[in-house]
Amino acid sequence: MAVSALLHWLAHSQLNELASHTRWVFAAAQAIHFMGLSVLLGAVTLLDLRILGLARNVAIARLFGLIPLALVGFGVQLITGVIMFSADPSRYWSNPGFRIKMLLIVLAGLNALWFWLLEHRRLQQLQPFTAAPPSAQVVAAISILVWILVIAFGRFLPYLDGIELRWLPSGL
Amino acid sequence: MSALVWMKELPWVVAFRESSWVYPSVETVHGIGMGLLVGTLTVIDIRVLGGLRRLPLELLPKLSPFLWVGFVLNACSGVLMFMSDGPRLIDNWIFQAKMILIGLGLVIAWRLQRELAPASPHARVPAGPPRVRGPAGTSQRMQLIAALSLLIWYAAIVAGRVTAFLGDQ
Repeated sequence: MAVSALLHWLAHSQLNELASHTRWVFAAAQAIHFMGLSVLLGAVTLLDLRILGLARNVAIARLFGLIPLALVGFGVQLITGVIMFSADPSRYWSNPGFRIKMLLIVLAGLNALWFWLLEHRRLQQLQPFTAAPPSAQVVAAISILVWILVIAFGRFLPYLDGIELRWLPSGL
Repeated sequence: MSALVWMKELPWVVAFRESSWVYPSVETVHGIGMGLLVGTLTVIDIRVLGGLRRLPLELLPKLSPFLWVGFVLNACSGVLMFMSDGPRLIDNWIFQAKMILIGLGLVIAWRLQRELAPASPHARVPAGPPRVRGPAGTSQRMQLIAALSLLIWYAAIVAGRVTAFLGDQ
């Protein structure tokens, strides 16, 4: 119920007016969304691949500076994503690809939280040339995989428009 | 031009264009390649410009494989997408601008890699006086190259999106 109210509100908001009636606003939001994608994927991949064992001569802690950069990329994507979503909220919401993409982003967020709460401090103390603990490597592998899937579902969105997936709860 | 039309009508190119999952998969590869290429360059350029100071400068040349992997992914997926829509794209000035930007961006990325690479021990010319360097540890010349790199690659992304957007109309 709360979801349909939110969709209704967004569909009648000024943001909707802006994004759906001015073509270049949507296009610009999408272009900036792709810029955010590059920043996020670049930062996350470099950190994850180091945790997975590449470039061992670099202490992992020195790569932690990439985390704020990844957050900036994500913030840009969140803002531009909301703008695009508000152009046609109910159509996005009824697209199964969109819902799967959102679930994957939540998963990526939980994974990042796990990293921050349980792995981050241990990794900080690691010297160069030492391998990250297996649990941190699992987090890094999940991170790369999930972000790639997020990109994939983003690209597949137009192709999944109007398709119903029975196993996906419609009330979600 | 007729070669582009011929290419576009090749049976496997037609099948590729009309496939409900192969075409978006290639678009996905293009997106991942873009993220690797531009993302890695963003990290390098920001560090050269003086941000992300915790990253050692010596690390930057080691990031170049990510950049080239990203580029190869994008070149391959890009050629496929071009083949399926060549006649329209070749005359589109925004697409032409994107290709020019990519060419410039590659030259700039290569220049910056050379600036960052440790001097070869076999260099015939002896090292000159140490260059004046700011708190970032990089010369102004390198910073200029890095700023140009950011500008060019993000402009290429915009050109790519505009090209796709015009195609949808």
